[in-house]
Amino acid sequence: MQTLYTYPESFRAYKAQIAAQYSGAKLDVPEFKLGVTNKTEEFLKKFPLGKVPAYESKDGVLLFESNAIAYYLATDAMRGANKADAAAVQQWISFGDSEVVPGSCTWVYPCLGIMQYNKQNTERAKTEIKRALGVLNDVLLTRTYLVGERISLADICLCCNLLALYQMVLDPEFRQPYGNVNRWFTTLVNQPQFKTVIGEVKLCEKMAQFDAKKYQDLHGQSKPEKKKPEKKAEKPKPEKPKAAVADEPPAEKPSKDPFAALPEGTFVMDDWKKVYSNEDTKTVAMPYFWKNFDKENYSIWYSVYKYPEDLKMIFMSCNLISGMFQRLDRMRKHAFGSAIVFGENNNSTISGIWIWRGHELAFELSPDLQIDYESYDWKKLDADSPETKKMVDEYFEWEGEFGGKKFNQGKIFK
Amino acid sequence: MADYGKELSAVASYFNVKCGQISFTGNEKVVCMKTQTGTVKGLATISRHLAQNSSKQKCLGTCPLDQALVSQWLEYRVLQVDRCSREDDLHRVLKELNGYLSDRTYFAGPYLTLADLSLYYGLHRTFVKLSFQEKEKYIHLSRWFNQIQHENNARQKFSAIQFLKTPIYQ
Ligand SMILES: N[C@@H](CCC(=O)N[C@@H](CS)C(=O)NCC(=O)O)C(=O)O
Repeated sequence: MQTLYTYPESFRAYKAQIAAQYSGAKLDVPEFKLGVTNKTEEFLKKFPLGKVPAYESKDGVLLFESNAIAYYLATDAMRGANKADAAAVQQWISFGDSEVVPGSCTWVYPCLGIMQYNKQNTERAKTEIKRALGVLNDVLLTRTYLVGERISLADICLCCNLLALYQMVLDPEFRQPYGNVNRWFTTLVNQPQFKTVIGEVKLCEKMAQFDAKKYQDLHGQSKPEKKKPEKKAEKPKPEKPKAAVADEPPAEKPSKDPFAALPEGTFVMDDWKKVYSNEDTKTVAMPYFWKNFDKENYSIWYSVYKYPEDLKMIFMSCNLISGMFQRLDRMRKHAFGSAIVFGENNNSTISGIWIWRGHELAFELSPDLQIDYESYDWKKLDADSPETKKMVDEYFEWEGEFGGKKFNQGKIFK
Repeated sequence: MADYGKELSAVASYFNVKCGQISFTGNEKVVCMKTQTGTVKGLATISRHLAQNSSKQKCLGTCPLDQALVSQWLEYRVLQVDRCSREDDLHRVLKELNGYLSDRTYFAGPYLTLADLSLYYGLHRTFVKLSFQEKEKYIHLSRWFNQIQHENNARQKFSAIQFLKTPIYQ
């Protein structure tokens, strides 16, 4: 058995997974909690960088860096039939990493609200992408595939690097001059070996723009206005000064710990987090939790995202959760939570289970905890009821019925 | 006249099946192949028969649209490509195919099908005679032709045609 550690829908992991489809290598992709699994001692011992994708074979081959993993999993023929072809394969893989990925991130991330929009940077990124596409278009005029006359690692890696661009921003007008690249890309994503891994790829119809609201949701310091259910056209307003400091602590942040006034109780949050991170959840961590949980001084909450109809791609929902976790940093010492995305792209919901010190809605303790909580419905659960126990177990173990909802992925606030 | 005997034996080899005895019957000299159960007539039908009896069923198309496209191009091969009597007929066909392949890698679906093989064999005798300049004029068709002749086991006894990877006349 060979193991690939990755979170779902990673274009980097795709390279390895597609290569494995061609060679017939069977990959086990175990449940993975970003920020948890890759920060455990066990993981770091094997992969000191703590990044994914990462690969482990049963006879002890350990690899990180997606290109290396894909190389290892590919067939000989896909690495290039002779020395010159093998070098050409490397050339295109490096080309993808240096000429495509940076521009793609600069252009696409603001559209996902992950990064602040900066007109100058985006325009520069567009120019870079145009240049890369132009080079590829010339090469693919006389070639069906990049190297030799068959699909190689060069095609796999570059195709994965271009995936987000083709899905989000390369609208028909923008991609029109690059007919040969379009032909090559469409042919690749429709190969059965690609399709099983990445699913149906829909080419962009309308160029995505900066998602100011999502960015604000993910990074904003100020309390957003009450969300209106109907969608307004959102113009990317240049909010540069505000956004520039979005990641820094606000100047006059009250330094008092909002939980300080509450009784400490007997449940030691740090110990619980250690057990949860390092031990098997079902057999060790959950029994520990129920033995030590101090219901007098701590409370259990169920949260449901109020606007599931706005959730599009799963990875965007994950970004929404990561952003919220970041902004809740100040309650980290006294709270723990598991937020789960259910369903699939264009049809998903987010809900979670939280525990924190005290019996009040913790967010009301301090204004800078209030950014996200209005987007969720919060319900305090009865710590003694069997229903609560079942829910807490399911949400912390990431396994179970979840009232019929289909688990997609989860994140742990700890 | 295209060499149907050579072509059908290449098709059979590609599909790794046995090629029956080939003959030509009637005034029209219709190509026939003997099989265990009877005689199959016509280039398209025989090619299809060979593919059907192989393990490469995928080459007949994997969805209704691709299957229809395979049929369409097999017809086109016989009715258009093989019946070009005049030079300008031939160039009309080359131009049409070149246009079709400007945004497609293969004739039907995202991988090689019987349609590609059939058109490749049918166009081989034309490509043998094209100058580099002419090959560049039909750049997409040339790109495709070069791809097919490099597919495993496709070329068989047909000669390899040279193409320039870097256009010089454009
Ligand atoms: N060049 C590496 C990049 C890997 C990488 O940056 N992985 C990110 C996710 S896309 C990661 O694991 N981040 C986790 C962390 O930094 O804690 C590759 O291609 O594999």
